[in-house]
Amino acid sequence: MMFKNNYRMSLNALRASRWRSFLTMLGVIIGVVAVVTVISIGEGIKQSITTEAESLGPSVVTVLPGPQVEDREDIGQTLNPFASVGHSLTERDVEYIQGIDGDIEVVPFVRGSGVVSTNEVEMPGAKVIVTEGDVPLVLNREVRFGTWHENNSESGRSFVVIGSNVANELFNELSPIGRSMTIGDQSFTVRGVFAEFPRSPLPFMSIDYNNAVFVSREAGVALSNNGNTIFQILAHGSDSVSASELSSSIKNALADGRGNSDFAVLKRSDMINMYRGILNVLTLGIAAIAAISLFVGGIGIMNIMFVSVSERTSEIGIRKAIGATNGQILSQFITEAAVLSLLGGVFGILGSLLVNYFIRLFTPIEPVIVPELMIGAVIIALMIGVIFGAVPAIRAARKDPIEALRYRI
Amino acid sequence: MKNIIELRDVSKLYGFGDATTVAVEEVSLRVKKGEFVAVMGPSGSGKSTLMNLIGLLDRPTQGTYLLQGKNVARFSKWRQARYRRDRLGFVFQSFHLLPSMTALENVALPLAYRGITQTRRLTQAGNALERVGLADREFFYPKQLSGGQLQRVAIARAIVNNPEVIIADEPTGNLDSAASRLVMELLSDLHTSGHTVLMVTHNPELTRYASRVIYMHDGVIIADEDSDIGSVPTLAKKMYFRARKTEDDDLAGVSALMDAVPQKDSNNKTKKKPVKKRRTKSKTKKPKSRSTSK
Ligand SMILES: Nc1ncnc2c1ncn2[C@@H]1O[C@H](COP(=O)(O)OP(=O)(O)OP(=O)(O)O)[C@@H](O)[C@H]1O
Ligand SMILES: [Mg+2]
Repeated sequence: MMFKNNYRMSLNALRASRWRSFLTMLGVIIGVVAVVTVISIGEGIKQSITTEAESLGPSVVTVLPGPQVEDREDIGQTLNPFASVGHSLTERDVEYIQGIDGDIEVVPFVRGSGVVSTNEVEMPGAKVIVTEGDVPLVLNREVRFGTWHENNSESGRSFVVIGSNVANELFNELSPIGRSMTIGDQSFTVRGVFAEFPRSPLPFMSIDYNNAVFVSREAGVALSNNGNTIFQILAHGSDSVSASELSSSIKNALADGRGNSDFAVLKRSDMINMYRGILNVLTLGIAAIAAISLFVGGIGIMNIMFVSVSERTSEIGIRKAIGATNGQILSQFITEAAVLSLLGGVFGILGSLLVNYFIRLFTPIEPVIVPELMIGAVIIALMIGVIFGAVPAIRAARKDPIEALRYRI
Repeated sequence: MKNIIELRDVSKLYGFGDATTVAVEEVSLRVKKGEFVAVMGPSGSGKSTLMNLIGLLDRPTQGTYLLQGKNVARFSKWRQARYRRDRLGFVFQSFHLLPSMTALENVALPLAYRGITQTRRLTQAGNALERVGLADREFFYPKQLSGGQLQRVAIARAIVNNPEVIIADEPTGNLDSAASRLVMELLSDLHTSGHTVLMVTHNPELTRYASRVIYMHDGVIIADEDSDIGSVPTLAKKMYFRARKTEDDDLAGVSALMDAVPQKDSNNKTKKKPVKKRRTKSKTKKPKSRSTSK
């Protein structure tokens, strides 16, 4: 009851000085936009990484060079294929894994070098992956046009299968199948195009297979100058073997064979958790910095509430004379600060939706505002109002009614 | 009849040490339910301070104050606020309405602090406004109303909670004679309908509406006389011609009062002969145009 009155009164008071209220709110609005946007970007990236990782299929295990690190700071290193300098996987490791009992499809990825081009276009961003085995199976993606190269250099021609971006850039609307392209100075014929891979907006985290050209090992010897440096091994077990069973038997096999632990074996869920871990740390770090602007917004509210309390001294006197208790005056002003801040929070969420719209429009990132984030933002805005409004409200409540009545601006 | 207000040796001091001002000094006063008490006295004599004490806006430095038999001066701030809300109504010289609210909302405000629903608040406030003859001004803002109308809104606000005691500190101080008469008639109506009214005024003419007149000087009640409704009592009559305009005139007002009341203090025997002739012009019931430079 009293709250409803206070709420109505504060809306009136805020409406009475619309511009001032808006400018005060602006501090909270900017703070909420900053925090909500940062967190929604983090959430968006997390979700697309999860989608990406899930696209691998549940029974695929990834082996990476470099030690398995649980420490989050180094996870990025572990997962970053370009950061594995000094650590390597070799053909021997592939053999260790193939030596495990059971039906395991093992696919090693070797980095190839050379600029990808046709007679007309060049695509410097394309990555060459020299590989063997059932790549469509381990990547859980079908070759949409054409076929995967099994017997690769039939009749002396070398075949490649390309990612969808490569197909678009090199051949545009033409059908790529059967056309020729060059990698470095070697020429290849396109035999298939992969269906599009879902891709994370942070390409440095893993390879974007849409930009990849897959070359068979026989045909790609010349492209992989030190052909036995493998940056990633994907292993796909039979359906009867669970991913964790597969990963632990691979771990054992590699540890036995290599005699060291300079490798990482990751299940799909490990990858997802690690990416999420990194992103949580990153997002929270940036959000904490953004939260400083929320604090500044709170100080703005406190400031304006002090002004408002002193301007309305005579109002306070009148209200006390007609029977308002100190508590009622206190809650009136706290409600006012809270409403101000709450409105700032709501506008901030709307503003963040707008910012996110532009982020989607101009970047590959797809920010996601989950309901918890909205509720959290509203609650935090409310709390800021209450906390920063408390001191001015206490000052209002303590005013002496006679002095307040005598007050003239 | 029972005393609704009883003050026993109530004092109010301001400041400390050498700077101490005694605004009210050991005042004892009994007011019966249904009385209309006019309080007169020169500026600075402690009238407003006394009203604030009775209205529970202030606490006495010393003494006992019983309101309806309860020792209210010792109440907590919270209980005092409840008493102000439920039993006391204030009317101020400068109206003290909230500019951001309509007349109706202003009148309804005390009801909000009682937790009454909005529809009932507005109905009751509408009735109160009707009682002061402003039913057609419900949705006017204070800046759209004349001084007399503002004061009638303030009276409506004071009575909306149906308080036992109405305290009016110079309610006509900012009004012209026509508006003053309307306001006084409203207060008189309230008196007739059984409310106890305490009113501070500088205008002796207005004591016509009172059943009793109290005279203050230097924080002390120096005289207290019953008055017939409709006539100006003897002491007030002495001040009749002393409508003042300047500070000098204020002094004249004081001396007129000092002349009028029987002196207890031997120091004050020197009878001043104030320039009575000078004032003959203002024999007409001229409203006070006191400059409120406090
Ligand atoms: N807050 C205060 N601090 C110090 N002195 C005060 C305070 N309030 C009132 N006084 C003093 O108390 C005395 C009585 O003041 P009060 O306002 O009651 O006079 P008054 O009779 O109402 O005068 P007026 O007719 O001008 O309204 C004055 O001398 C005044 O200076
Ligand atoms: Mg006064």
